[in-house]
Order: sequence, then structure tokens, then C-alpha cells
Amino acid sequence: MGVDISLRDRFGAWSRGADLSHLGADLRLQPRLHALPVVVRRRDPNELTTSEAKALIDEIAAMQIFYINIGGGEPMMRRDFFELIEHAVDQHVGVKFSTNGTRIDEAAALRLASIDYLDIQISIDGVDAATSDRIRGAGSYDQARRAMDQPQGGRLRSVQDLGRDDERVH
Amino acid sequence: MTSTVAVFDATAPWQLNEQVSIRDESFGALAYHHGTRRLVFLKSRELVDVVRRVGEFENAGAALDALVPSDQRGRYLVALMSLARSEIIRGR
Repeated sequence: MGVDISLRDRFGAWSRGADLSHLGADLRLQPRLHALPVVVRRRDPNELTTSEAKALIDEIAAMQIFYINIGGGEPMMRRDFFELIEHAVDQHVGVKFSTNGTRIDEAAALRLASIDYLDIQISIDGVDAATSDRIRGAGSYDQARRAMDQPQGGRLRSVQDLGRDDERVH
Repeated sequence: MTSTVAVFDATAPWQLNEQVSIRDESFGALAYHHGTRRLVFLKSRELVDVVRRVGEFENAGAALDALVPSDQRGRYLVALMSLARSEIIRGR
């Protein structure tokens, strides 16, 4: 089990005496976010299995990394997505992840809201559908907005970062 | 008295906030508050020791008496005040 190359070996040089507070993790998760689910893309052959991803998270926890940033692809496409982020948070490794929001329905929003130490960035690339969809594809803005507008169990607060082209839900 | 003083009372019992992870570093330690998402530098080993162990003592003053040289007490009081403000330590 486990990842082929030890995370400690790969990142040891960074952490020695430095302030390595977090790691960016690209778990090679499914399609580019430009691709809306109309098109089914092939899985990346380098995508980690559940046990490999968990082993990676265990190494991250052992290194006392405070939080990880998970990108993609679209991380929520993984069937084991919740299992993995809960595995991290259970070990006090905070999680931040970026998503296009297509997988955040009401049930997912409530489950996300129940997890401590989690920050979510739902990506849009403009203040309206016309602008954003030019970059991210038709319908992407509405899907992101739908995700943001889910009832969130009273726990999530939405932060609009108008200086940039994204919008965040904490 | 200023409001800063109101945040931190050395005669009161304090403890490390359970939402905080501490990782030792060559310069001291990094403290990360999982709730506020703030990262704080603890810039001496002695301060790290005080932060970790302040909960073992009746109050913050007693922790300083036991753990730091008396001529540096003022410095550590200021540090604890700041750590109370950033919620790295909390009243118990």
C-alpha cells in the first residue's frame, strides 16, 4: 500500500527548518474543470486509489502539515471524495478545495457544512454568466451559483472576493 | 486600563486552545489555529513551552514564574497577551 515515493522524501527539503504550513495536493482527479459533465473524460492513469490517497494523507498528518489544498481536475468527481477529506480532517489536517460546484447539491452542501476545518472555493470567472461561461463553458456559471445557493445548514458563510475572479464559500 | 489588558489577565487560568496545532521548528514553533485559519510564529523554545504548559498552572503568572527567567517576564506577558488576542491560548 501507500504511495510509491514517500512524501517525506519528496517534500523533506521544503520542510526542513522552514515554515511548511500546507501542501497543495493534486490527486489527479478526473476532468479539467472546463469540461462540464456532458463529456465523460478518461480517468487519469496516475489517479491515486483510495488507499493510496489515504496513505498520502497519513504522511501529511505525520509531517504535521496544518492543511492541504486540493485541486484537480474536479475533486468532487471522486466517489471517495468525502471519505478522503473526512480522513484528513479527522487527523486535524484542514482541507481547502476548489470545485466547479456541479456536485454540490443539497445533500452534499449539508455534509460539507458538517465538516470542521474545511474551506471551499467555488470557481467562477466573471460576475455574470456571459463572462464566466466564455471561459468555463456554457452553463458553468449557473451550476456554480446553484452550488453557492444551497441551504448550508447555517454554518457556511459566503465571501465574495470582488478583487478577483472567484467567489468563496467558507 | 486599555482594552488589550482586558483580553489577557495573568492572574486567571489559561490553556492552549484545543483548536490549535503546534509544530516544532528550529526557531521555536508554528501554531496554526484551525478555526481562524491563522498561522502564528512562536519565536522561542521557552515561549513554546509556556504555551504548551500554561494549562498545567493555576494561572498564567504562575506558569511564567515557573518557566521563564524573572527578568524576561514582561516580554513573555506581552507575548501571551498577543496569543490570547489571536486565540492561540484561551481562558479555562
